Amino acid sequence: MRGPGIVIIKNRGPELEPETGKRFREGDPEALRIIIWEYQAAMYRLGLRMFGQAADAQDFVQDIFIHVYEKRRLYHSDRPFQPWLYRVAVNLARGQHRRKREYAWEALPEKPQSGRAEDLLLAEERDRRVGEALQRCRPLARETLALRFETGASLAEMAEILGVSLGTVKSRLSRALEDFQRCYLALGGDSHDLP
Amino acid sequence: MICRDLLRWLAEREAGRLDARQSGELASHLRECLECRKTSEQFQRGMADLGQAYSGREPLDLSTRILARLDTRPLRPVLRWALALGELAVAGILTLLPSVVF
Repeated sequence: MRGPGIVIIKNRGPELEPETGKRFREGDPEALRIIIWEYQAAMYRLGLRMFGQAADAQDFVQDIFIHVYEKRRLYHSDRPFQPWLYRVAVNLARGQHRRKREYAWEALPEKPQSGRAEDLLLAEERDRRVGEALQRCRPLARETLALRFETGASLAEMAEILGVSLGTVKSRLSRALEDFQRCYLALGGDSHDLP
Repeated sequence: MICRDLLRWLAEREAGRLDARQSGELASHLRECLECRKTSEQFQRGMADLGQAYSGREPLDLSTRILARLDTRPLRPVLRWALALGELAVAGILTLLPSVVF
């Protein structure tokens, strides 16, 4: 089930081949390398969305894969790999949120340039505002939105990753979207007063 | 009522939480209220922006750094103890072996 709303999937990694998953579980370093190669980009984007800082996102990704490798025996290789990986990532992010509590937004890394200058400027401004609005959201809202919009997870997948019911996912998503829109519209400086 | 809670209504519709009656009520209100219609359009632009925004690309050497950290990671205490005990056992055997053999 993909669920309602606009969701754009951004280079989500392919599902892991069962044989690779099995080898990873047995501690094969080559299988771990494949996993890092396939999923580091998605994990990094998730980290950027959750923490807003490139340095924190890099530490986060390293922690994820170290944790995943240490806990590899808990992965059942007959089941899809990505929900397990995302569950580990979300739990780690929550732990880091608890430790840090405060976040600051930093400028986005340079984007690959192509297209008209005016369009690029508009896109950069959009990216900056989206990033800043996300950092103003509560951590639970940021986590929900990062899973939905950065990984393109369906509502059912989110329920599996977060270990909650579909109804709870919808409720969290609704509150997260309201939170985000309030921040985003406020940042836009639009003349129309927010309700 | 809807004017005051418009963002919540729009967010709930987006998350698939409105039933048919509520969706109809919202649509009907948006047809009649110009201010809410404007906010609804901004909301939709915000949704599109959230979906399209570029978050960033990982550094090229990230996988190398992850693997380096895995290689240099200290052994867990249980493993350290197991290794120490193993070394002691081997030393003990090597010490006792000549007296047993000869």
